Amino acid sequence: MNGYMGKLLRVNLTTGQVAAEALQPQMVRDYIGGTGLGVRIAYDEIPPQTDPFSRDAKLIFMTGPVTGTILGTAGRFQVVYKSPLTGILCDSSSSGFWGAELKHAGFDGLIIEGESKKPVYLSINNGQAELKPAEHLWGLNTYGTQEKLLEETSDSKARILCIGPAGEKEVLFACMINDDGRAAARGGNGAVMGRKKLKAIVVRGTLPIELARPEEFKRAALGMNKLNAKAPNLEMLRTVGTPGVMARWPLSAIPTKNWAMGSYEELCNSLSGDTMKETIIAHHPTSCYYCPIHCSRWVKIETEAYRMDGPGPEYESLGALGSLCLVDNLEAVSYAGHLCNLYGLDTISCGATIAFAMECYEKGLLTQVDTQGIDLIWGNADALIQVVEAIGSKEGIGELLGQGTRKASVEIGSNSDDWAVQVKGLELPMHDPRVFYAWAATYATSPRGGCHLHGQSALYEHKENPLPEWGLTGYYPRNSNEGKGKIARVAQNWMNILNSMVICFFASLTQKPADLATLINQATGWEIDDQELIEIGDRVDAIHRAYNYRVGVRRVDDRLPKRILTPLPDGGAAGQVPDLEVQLSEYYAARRLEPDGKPSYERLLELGMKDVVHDLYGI
Amino acid sequence: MKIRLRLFGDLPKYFGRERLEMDLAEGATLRELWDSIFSECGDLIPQEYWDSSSGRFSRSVMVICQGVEITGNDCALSDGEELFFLPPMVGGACLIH
Repeated sequence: MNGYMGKLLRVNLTTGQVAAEALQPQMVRDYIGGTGLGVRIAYDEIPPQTDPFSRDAKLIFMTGPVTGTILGTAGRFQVVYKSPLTGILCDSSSSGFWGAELKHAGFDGLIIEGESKKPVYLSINNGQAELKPAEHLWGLNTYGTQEKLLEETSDSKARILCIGPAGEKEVLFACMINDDGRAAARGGNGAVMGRKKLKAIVVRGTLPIELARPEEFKRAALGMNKLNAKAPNLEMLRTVGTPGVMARWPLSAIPTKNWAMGSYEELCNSLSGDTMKETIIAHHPTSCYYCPIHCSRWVKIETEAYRMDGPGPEYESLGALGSLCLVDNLEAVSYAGHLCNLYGLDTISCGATIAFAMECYEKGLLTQVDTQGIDLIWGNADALIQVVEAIGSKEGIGELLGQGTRKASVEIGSNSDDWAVQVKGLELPMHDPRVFYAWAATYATSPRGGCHLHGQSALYEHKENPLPEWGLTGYYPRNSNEGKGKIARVAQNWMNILNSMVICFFASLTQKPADLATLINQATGWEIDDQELIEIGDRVDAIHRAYNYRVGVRRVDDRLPKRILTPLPDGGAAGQVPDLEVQLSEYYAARRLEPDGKPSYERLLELGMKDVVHDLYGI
Repeated sequence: MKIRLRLFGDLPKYFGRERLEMDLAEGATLRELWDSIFSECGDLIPQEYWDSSSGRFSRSVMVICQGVEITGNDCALSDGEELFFLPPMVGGACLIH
């Protein structure tokens, strides 16, 4: 199988059994790899009513056909599992090098099942795998774990993925961390790993990856790398990284004070990419596997209370831990993000839940008795740090808030659900649907809940003929509803392809669907075109949607939180809200969904999903 | 009258500065501002950001005045007004290519 190692590694933590098994070629052809293949395997192997913390729950790690090649960003991986935060199927994505190393170690993916009685870690080296005791690692933070395991393996080229204390304590938005501070952040995969007593996965590999047309692939991949090193549209990423997005504040586009007010200059400037560059960035941006963009930043802070030397915050972290909580202290926000990395916490859900708690505190629903004396007022940087630590160690107020906004609002009661800003239990990322309307349908229908990585819909708004190959011609103003359901489908399908290949969204910003089809063909020997890619994108969505339908998700769950359907009082988007129902009707037609949310019988048959037809329609 | 312009995203890179000031006749509209920008800086603006058929910034570039987005060309400007120019951005990247 060109482009693949042809093998999955199945690890049963209950029995200790470790065994390789063959990839199924037809399944690979239908779903490519990464998210697509992982979700398909989850559909087949994880019954919909499985408790995410039970022994029957699984963690499915997947790479793709270009992983481990010289293509920039092809070191990524996806992990698919039933989320303890949302209760539905989640796929999380991480960057760095770990995915490439796993593939060179001989495996396209891992299926982790069962539950160990004692802490263990998994070691994989050139086709061999074994479980090793990890009691001595239990309790260590993620950087300490990586350091210790690197010492133990005596191989500086080994790549490590692990959980921190938050995962061990099953905080519902605990995540996996790999390659210093890279995170498969969303949905609580770290908590599942913690329940399974799996502390880390160490990978090392030097096995070759066979490609169908290696010389052609090399030329195309190097061409793409070269383009991404110089492309004008990636300039801001190369110079200041994702925090450059703070420059959108005049549009009210930076979520502020738990999404209740428009963004303003002083706050956003204090958290901006330029301010980071002038104050706390220590050295030249660090890079992911073969990536010429170098969007990440290494930060060094000397102030005693916020002392750190490590990966700096991305835009999402600056928004969630900063503007959302009205904290304008860049050092404190960076340190809060650093703590999230050490504990192994999703910065978006963490910051969003703290902002939610600040609003509860302001309204008297939480008091200093509940917070153990923490003065949780808006903008209190010290309180931010204290609560991140409480969540990471699941102590005090952290026990309540570590459940995320949906569950915390149920416990807090009153009308606190009104400002719990989540969709299907996943806290929204830092892009406001009241400013760029296509986020409305995209968030409401994202297969893992409120998420920007399953459809970067703003890419297609405010742009002439955004993607004619996939039917997006014309012009879609940001604050109109027309076309936004159609945009959501295309945006989700584009991400389904990227997450199945598995490559980074940023690297794709210079590419068209036909370019991606060419890379896949050169790697695998297939002959697919850009039109088949949109079909595969539909298929990946359909299998994910079918799984969630069997869990019980219906159209009524394709919703937005009340706060997001309330106009902002000020700023560049004041007084405007998207019409979600209009967008959803268009989206359901574009996706060919039944009124209750399941994929239509006819569309499933066209996509070759007869078994899913049987499951959903009993035929 | 004087109109102040603030440039965001990657626009400052093309103009070599983040702020510009334009002198316009009293009562000038956005149309006159476009003409003035083009005559002073036309050679600096990348073609992806300029709509030569209508002689203005392309629709992708959002123009904000006092917190409100301006879409037409006939909007009258006032002395001392500050306009923000934002190219499309997502995830830290600007979106022309």
